[in-house]
Amino acid sequence: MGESEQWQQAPEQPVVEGPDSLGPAILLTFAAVVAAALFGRASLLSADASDAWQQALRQEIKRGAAVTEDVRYVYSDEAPLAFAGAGVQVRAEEHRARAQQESGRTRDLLLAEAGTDEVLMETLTAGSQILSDERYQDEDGFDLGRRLADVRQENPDLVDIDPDQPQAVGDRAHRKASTTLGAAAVAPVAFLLGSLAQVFRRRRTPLLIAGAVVLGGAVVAAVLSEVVL
Amino acid sequence: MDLDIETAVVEAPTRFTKLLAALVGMTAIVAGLLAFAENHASRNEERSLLLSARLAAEASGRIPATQSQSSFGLRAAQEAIIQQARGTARLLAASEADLADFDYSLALSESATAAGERLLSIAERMGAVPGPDSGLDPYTLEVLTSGHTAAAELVQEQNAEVDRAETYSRRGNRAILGLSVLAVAAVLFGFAGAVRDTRPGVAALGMATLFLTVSAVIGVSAVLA
Repeated sequence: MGESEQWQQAPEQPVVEGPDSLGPAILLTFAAVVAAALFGRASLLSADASDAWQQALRQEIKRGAAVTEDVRYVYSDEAPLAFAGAGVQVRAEEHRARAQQESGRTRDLLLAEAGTDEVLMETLTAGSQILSDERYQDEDGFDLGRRLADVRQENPDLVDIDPDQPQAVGDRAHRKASTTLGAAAVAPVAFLLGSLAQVFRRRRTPLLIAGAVVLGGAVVAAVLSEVVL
Repeated sequence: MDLDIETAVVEAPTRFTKLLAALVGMTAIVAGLLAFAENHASRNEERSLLLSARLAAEASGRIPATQSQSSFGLRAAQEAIIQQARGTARLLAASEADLADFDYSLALSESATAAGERLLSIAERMGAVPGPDSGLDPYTLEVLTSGHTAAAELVQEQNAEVDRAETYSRRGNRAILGLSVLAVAAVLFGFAGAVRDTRPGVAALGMATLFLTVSAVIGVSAVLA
């Protein structure tokens, strides 16, 4: 074969499409970084939500135990004795009132009964906070509601427990995490556009721009969820 | 003459390469959506479980509290009735026994009966649920006022949260299954990219596309479950 034939039969060259661009690689890198950052942030927010909900549960248990114990103490421990004292007091008053209508032995015996009840009342009063404190005296009987309120206020920090507060904090963090996760799930669209930009060179520029817009939108959405929610 | 032509030879993307790039991009999107679905489901499951635990704790605190208060009222009323009945019983016993001190027994029984009537009124007042003017904190007041009805509603709400947690758990498990299938697709895409436009490469691309499709279907079922 002569030189001219060698020149005419030059080996086939692949289509030269010009120097390759770093644009798709940069877009893909940013997409990966943004997605990782947003997923990481969402994980932190989820952890905050979990901690807050756990705290709400602990506070609910503590509050319930405190209320149960205080109510039990007043109505199971103190109230029966107070009611017994009310019974003794009322009996003494009725015996004494009836004694005014009688005479002789009957009157003396009724007064003795009243006296017995009054002595018993003194004994009961010495052993009861409700019986001995005038603040709990009612028109007839004793004010257990006021006594329960005072018992509750002996531990004001337990009264002030509000599990709904950490619950709300956890719910807010959860909403932020969901929104951030949503933004992170959009970031892979930029990855798709970057992949397509690598192979569809004639449409590379619009694809890269679209990818950048999508990534920017994901970041803006995540920032807005931090600020607004 | 021997000419060496040095050019920046860039291999033009083939149909295989373009398809592979598009499918890899789709894989990234499906992965993002499945990760979102799994995370969202697991967080909501956790929330529902903790909420149900909190409702159970609240119900278990309310029930004994209202029970203490109502039991006292019941016992006090019973004692007052017994006191009243004792007065009457004393009178009957005295009249049947024909006692010498009948006048005293009569007076004693009448004052005891009157005391019993007052005591019944006292029992009603002391056994009643405290009012807003008692100075009680709002939560304790609400617990005592709502009674057993509120506890029953809490139990219902708690059961609903448990059901909700189970639904989210199912969704989360399906999302994890989708991610597992997607991982296989990603490996096959990688293999196809390595061997390029050859028979094994085309076969791997086809299988990877199938796995990608299955993963996407599982992801949709996770959302709709």
